[in-house]
Amino acid sequence: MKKQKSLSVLLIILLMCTLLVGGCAQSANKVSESGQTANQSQQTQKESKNTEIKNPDTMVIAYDDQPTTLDPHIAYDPESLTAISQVYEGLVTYKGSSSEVIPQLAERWEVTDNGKVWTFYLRKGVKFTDGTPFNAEAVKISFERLLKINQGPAWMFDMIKNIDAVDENTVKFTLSYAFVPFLHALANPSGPLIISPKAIKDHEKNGDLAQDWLRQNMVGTGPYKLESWNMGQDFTLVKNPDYWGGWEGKHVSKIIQKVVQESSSQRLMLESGDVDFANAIPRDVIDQLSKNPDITVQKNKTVNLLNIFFNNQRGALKDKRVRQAMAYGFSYDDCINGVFNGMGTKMQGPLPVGMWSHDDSIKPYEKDVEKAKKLLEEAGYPGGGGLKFTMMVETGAEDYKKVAELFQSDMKNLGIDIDIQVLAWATMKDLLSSPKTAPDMFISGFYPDYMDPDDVLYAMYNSKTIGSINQSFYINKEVDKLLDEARQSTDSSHREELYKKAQQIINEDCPDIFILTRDNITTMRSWVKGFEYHPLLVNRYYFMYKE
Amino acid sequence: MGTYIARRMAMLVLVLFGMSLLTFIISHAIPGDPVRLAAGPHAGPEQIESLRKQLGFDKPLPVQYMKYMSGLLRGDMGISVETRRPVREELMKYLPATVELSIFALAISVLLGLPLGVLSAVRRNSPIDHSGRMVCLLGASTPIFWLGLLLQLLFYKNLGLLPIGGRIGMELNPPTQITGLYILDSILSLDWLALKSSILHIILPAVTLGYGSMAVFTRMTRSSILEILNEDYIRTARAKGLSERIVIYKHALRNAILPVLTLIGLQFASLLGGAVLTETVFSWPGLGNYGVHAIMTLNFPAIMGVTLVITTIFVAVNLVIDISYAFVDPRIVYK
Repeated sequence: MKKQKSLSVLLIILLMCTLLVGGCAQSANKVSESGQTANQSQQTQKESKNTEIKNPDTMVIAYDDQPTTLDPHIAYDPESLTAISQVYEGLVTYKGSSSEVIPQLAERWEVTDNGKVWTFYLRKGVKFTDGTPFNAEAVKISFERLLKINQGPAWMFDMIKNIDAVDENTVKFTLSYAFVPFLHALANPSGPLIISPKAIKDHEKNGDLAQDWLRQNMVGTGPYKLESWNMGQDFTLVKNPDYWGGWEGKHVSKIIQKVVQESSSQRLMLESGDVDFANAIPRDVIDQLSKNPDITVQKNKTVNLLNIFFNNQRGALKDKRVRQAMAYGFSYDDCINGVFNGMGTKMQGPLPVGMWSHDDSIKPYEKDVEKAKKLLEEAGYPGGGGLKFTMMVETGAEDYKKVAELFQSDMKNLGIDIDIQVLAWATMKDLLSSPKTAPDMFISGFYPDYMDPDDVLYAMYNSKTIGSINQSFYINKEVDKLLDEARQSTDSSHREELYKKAQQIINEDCPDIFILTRDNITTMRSWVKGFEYHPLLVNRYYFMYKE
Repeated sequence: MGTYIARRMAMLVLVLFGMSLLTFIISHAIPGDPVRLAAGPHAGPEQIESLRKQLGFDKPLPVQYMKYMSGLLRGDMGISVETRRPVREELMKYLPATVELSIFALAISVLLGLPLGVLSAVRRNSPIDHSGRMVCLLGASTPIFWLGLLLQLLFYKNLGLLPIGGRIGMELNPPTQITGLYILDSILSLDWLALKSSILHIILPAVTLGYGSMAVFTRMTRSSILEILNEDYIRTARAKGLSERIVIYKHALRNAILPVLTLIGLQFASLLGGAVLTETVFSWPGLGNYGVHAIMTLNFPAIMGVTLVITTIFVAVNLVIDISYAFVDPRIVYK
């Protein structure tokens, strides 16, 4: 009898388990099926639950990955730069959301007429978080370290010939050639940041310039300093009480960068208010999320461009008419509206719209199948002529794959066969090092480091950058000449003219299919105030607070 | 027994050696260049070569392998190409997280699976058996990913009972690292806040990961006991008037447990290696996550490290299980 009783109890427990799982399934269905209604009812519930600001003095950011390194002279990924930008500072920075360069650790600067010598007058009374005073020597040591390590962001400064600490508060950079975008390069968030010279000296091991130590420690002049880093979990910064910018006004005194890999978990945590920012919310739920009054969704234009890169040195692709035909065959609108939910701006030529010196008179490629067929015929491939190309897409890049499939079906209309291959980025990157091993075409994005056409046009279309960023293996002597001259010309209207000319030629040559620049979407709690998006800088939490 | 263990240990060394060679060859045979990736998008040939030299990838493969193996003997597992931190140091951070999760998942699956299996066998074709079958069917067929998300919705969003990401609340510092297992460490360092937070954090991922194994244990125990219950000695035991409880627990279960024991070993090893999905859904900073990331970035030293650690655990767990046979079944003697 007793045994029977215990069995019945177990049976009930088991049934409850089954019901529980069933119940879960039902509640999940409710969200996905009736979408909006269920969502709204959850919001109402939440409003009553979450009127109070969670962690009012801490900004919690959900990231789907963790920083790779904390060394500002090596880091080149957004997770690392987010952490680094709150702790380290450079000589100059960008103002608000504009591309105007303003002082940061330098108070003012001057440049000689030939554009080769830049003198910076430094801010006085600034200290690193280890107490070391900030001065010209610190600037010199940091830049020398960046150039000596020669990784990640160092390429932007390879024209620096000499750095002189003229006096305590004056530093002079001598360049090997006039590099006009130098100031913009100094304002970019990766690379030109100043580390405490004492930290570099004290932690140097076997001439490693303290790389080993600075990978997981930070000593800068910025508003925050490192408290802890639990690898794979979270990363905590606390306020630097002696920050030269001061703590008057509203600020948060702690920043936690938390790894939340799954986008659905990020969404749940954002909705519940456990995190203030979430970086990986998928585009297809953005509309739904933006109806939630507790959450602010901000869409901003960026310079984050997406192209289909042709291998300009391979077979039929050497012929500009074949490349142009393919550019005329592509459904741009379907791509922007279908794949990217309309969250992007169509490219007009090789330079993102809105960047200084963009040529608004350029006629962008639009879908025109007749024109495409005619061009193919002229090139000797009537009806596609059995053309067959391989196209590579990076593993895990779902958007790119959708673009590739759209392109594949468009090309079928022209009689061109596209074979899509999905490969790991490390493998692709290796193949892309030479035109011989590179695929016929591939899809990739490009995010400039500084707000100057030099970083798009010179980087992507100058023959000197073949093997690094010129992955179309595009060579045009005239373009080379224009771009070389433009980066050294100190006359800004002349520069503009040169860049416009280069854009016209590149657009005509069609080394790539210029598709769109993708919008940036920031999803954050509505209680976050003071947020200002900048297309190049990472978020600066010093200017934000919760209210 | 001593000789047997020694022989198995020697085998372990051989297996590890073979495994290291195989992984080394395979990971280098895949086309791709991790150095190019690590050097950054703008790096020119000169920068790439200098980093390659710094990481020791400029030498011929056999030399690299020899260097790796001689380092390994000294406990040096190389430098991660992506983060430039010693792989050993990184594994020490990620491995305990996976071990802790796997132990919990295994505990949950054994503690629920075994009794359920026994009950299903004893009460064959009863409602208990049927509901047990239902639970198992769900366990075996529910994708981990989906189950994880479902539990998150229920316990985090709707009920607000349990957290969903990481090993410990972000407002707390992890307990002082002794073993790397947060629960054990917080007990050892008497940090009760950390203990509470770690336990709350591990529940959902452990249930998600353990549910599938629980189903396997239940089915295995059930069929194993059913088989034994038909044996002559069970009939004898019943005939001589032993109570059913003694028949089941002393005579049947002890004999039926052998295959289950093997399974426990295999499941533990596969939980360790297969926690990737659970780790991703719950942002659990474990070995699976680390390994997948290493493969995506072709981070050779990290791939080697993960493979060797999982192989070692796999072989060691099997050895422990084999030895435990001798204790469970007195007929088994290792010579």
